[in-house]
Amino acid sequence: MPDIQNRSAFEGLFSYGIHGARRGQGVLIEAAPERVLILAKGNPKDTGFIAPIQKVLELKLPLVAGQTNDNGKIRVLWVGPDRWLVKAPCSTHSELVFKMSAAVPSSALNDVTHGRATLRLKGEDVRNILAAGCPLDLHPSHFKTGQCALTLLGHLNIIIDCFCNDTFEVTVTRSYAEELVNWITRNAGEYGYTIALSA
Amino acid sequence: MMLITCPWCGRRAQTEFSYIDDATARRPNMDSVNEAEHFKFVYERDSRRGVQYELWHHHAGCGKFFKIHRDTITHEIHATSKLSNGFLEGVK
Repeated sequence: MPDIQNRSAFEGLFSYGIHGARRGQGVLIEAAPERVLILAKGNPKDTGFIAPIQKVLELKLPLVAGQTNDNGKIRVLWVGPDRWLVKAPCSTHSELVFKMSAAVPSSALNDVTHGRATLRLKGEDVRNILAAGCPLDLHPSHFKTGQCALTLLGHLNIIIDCFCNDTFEVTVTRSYAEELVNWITRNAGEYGYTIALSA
Repeated sequence: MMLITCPWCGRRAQTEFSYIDDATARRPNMDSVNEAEHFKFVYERDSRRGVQYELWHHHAGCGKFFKIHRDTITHEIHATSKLSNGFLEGVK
């Protein structure tokens, strides 16, 4: 057996420390906690899909565009009228995948855990930084806690997830991790940013 | 920048969308089609000045196709609608 190691998508991409301008609090950049990511596709009107999957997740699937539901452990994002992205703790990985596929055997479930990279951004200037390259209206009165969206950041396709007013997670396909870090640090410089070792 | 209302995601910037085709183009019956008709279906489109029905794709968002009733002179979008609402009804 080859020795397979779990490596962060951001390995070698961060220069830790405090960078850029020193005005205000700036923003804290870190790799988001490692989590299981599963894309689930199914008909929201089909109770044979909705009911069993909600039972396994112990969570309702959001049916309104751009909404998330969170039960403190698992978080589900609306990523299309018939698609959801499940974010769950790594400790549940194989068990969750097994349980979900057993619950909805004929639905398309894609385990994309290792195919995505997620940055967590925290600070009062996060919205200003993202607004430089994201066409969404990110004003707090418009894009609120618990909302998510598939959109663009510069030329990157991203999934943006608002955890709370000043905390966002930005997910890209894994091979774009470097460009995501470059884009964020390039645009965060004018506000100042700190890159922290993630827990 | 044009703002387009995706029937699922709501109002989003044009950069998130791609134009696909004339929404009124119909695939001919492939069993009986002759070469000229087939060519017309694949390549020939009107370049209208005024309102037309178009298919667009929300590629950077929900990934769904939908139709737009749009004025090519003013860029005004009269309506957008899901494909499932019949092909051109629901768009006025």
